[in-house]
Amino acid sequence: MSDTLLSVRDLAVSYMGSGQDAPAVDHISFDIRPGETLGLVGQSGCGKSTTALAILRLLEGPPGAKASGQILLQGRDLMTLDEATMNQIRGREVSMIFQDPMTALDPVFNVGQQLRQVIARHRKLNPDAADALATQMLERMQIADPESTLRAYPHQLSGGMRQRIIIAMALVCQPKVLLADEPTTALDVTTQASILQQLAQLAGDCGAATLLISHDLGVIANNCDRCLVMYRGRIVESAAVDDLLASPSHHHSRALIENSGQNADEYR
Amino acid sequence: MSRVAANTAEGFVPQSRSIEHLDPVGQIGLVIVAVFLLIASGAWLGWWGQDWAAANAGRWEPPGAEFWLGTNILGQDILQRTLQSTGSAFEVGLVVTVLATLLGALMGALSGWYSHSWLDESILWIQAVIDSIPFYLLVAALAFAMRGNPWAMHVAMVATFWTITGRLVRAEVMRLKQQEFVLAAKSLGLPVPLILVRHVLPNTVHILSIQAAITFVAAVKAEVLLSFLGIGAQDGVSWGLMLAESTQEVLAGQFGNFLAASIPLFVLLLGFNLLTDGLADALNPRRSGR
Repeated sequence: MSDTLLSVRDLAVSYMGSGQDAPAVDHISFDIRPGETLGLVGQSGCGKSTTALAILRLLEGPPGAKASGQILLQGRDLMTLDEATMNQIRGREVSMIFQDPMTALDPVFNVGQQLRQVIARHRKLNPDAADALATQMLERMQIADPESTLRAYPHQLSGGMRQRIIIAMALVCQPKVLLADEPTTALDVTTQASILQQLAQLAGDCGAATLLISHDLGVIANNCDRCLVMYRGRIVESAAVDDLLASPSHHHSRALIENSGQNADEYR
Repeated sequence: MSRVAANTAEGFVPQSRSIEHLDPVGQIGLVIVAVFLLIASGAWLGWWGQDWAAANAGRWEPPGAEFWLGTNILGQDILQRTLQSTGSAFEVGLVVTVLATLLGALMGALSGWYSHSWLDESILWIQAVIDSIPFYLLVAALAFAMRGNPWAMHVAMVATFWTITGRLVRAEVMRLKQQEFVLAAKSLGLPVPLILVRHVLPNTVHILSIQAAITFVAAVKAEVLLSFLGIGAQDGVSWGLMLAESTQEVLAGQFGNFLAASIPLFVLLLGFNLLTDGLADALNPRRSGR
C-alpha cells in the first residue's frame, strides 16, 4: 500500500429522487500513485464528475446525493472526517479544477484577492510572501505579465488565462492530489494543448498526482500513463494507455476509440 | 498580455458594473439626493435650523428678507423648521435603510443558501406573516404600542421593510450557489460562512443597493405619514407635523407650512426615484449596453 497515494474503495453514489434505480457511481475502486497522471475517460453522464466531487465530499446532501465506500488518502478515510477537517484537506491536500473557466472565478474580486485568499486559508505567510507566491505561481503558468494580471478582474481575461489562474489557485498550496475535471473542454484546441502541458509541468513541480477527467480520449492519450474507462457508473477497463489503444478489451473502450474519429496511432 | 473581453455565446457572463455607468437622469437624481444630504448634514451639525422653535415674530408673517418662507401660527420660522425636518427625514431614512438592508441580506442569504430546509421554511413563514398584514396598519400599530419611545418608528419600519430585500436576496443566492465559483471556493477549503460573506453576498450588491434606495423612499414616506398621524416624530421636527398643522391653516388661506413641507418631500422622493432607476440600469449585470 506504500505505493498508493489515494485509494478509492467500493465508492458508490446515487442521486435521490432522480427516478432511476441505477446509481450514478456503481461501486468503483481505483488507486492513484504519487506523481502519476491517471486518466478517467467516458461519455457524458457516466459518473466521472460525480466521482471527483465524491472524493472531495462536495456532493449536495443527503438528501440529494448519497455516497458510500472508502476514500483513503494515505490511509486516512476521507468519508469519515467532519466538515472542518475536510476544509483543511480541500485545497491543501486535494484540489479540484472545474470545467468552465468563465464561471469558476468570482466576478467581483480581482485575481490577486482570490489567490491570496486561498494562500491565507492554508498557509501561514505574511502578506509580502503571499504576494510573492501569487506572482510566482502565475509566472510558472507562463502568464506574461503577472503583476497586472493579479490586479485584473475575471471579465477582463480570456478563457485560457482564467483557466491558467484556476490551475494556479488549485496548486498554490502544493496539494498531493489534483482532480482536473475536464479542464480544457471549454477551450479551443490550440489553447487546450498548451494549458495541459503547463498543468502537467506545474503539477509535476509541486509533486501532485493528477486525476485527469475527460470525455476526449485524445486528451487522455496525450497526457496520461494509465487510464480508467468509465461506462454507466462503472469502471469497465483499467490499463496503460498504450495497451488500451492497442487492444481495448471492453466494447465501450472500442467505441470511444472508433468514435474519436482518429486512428489510435495518431494519438502517439 | 492578452486581455479579451468576455463574450461567450452560451449565456450570461457576470460583469462587474459600477455607479460610473449612471445615466444622465440617474445623475440628476444623485445631485438632488446629494443636495438634500447636505441640508440634512447641516441640520445634524447645527449649522442651521437650530432656532426653529423660537416664537419671536408675529403669526403668519409673509415670506420676506428675515423669514424667507414666512412664519407659522406661533410665529416660528418655517424655513428653519423645514431644514430641520429634512434632517429628521434623512435620519429615519438612513437608519431604517441600513438596518433593514442588513437584516434582509442576512435572512435572504441564510434562506437562499439553506433553501427548503427548516431554517428557510421558518424565515419564509415569518416573512409571509409580516407581509400578510397591511403595511401602514402594522407600522402604525407597532409605533402606537411603543409610543413615547423615539425609536418606535425605526423599529416598526425595520421589522417590516426587510422582507422584500430578504426575498430578492434569497432568489439570487439560490442562483449564485449553483455557480461554479462557489463550488470552486468549497473545493479550496473555504468554510460556508466565509463563502457566504466573501463570495455570495458581494455578488448581490446590485440588488442590495437598488433595494436600499427603494427602502429609503418608503421610510421617508412612512416617517411623514406616521408623524402626520401623531405617532411618529415626538420632537416637533417633521414634515408630517408641519402638514398636520397646515390642515387648519390652508382653510385660513395660509399655505406656508403646506408648501414648505410638501415641496421638499416631493423633490426628495423624485430625486431618489430617479437615482433608483439609474442604479437599476447601471448596476444590473445582465445589461450589456453602457
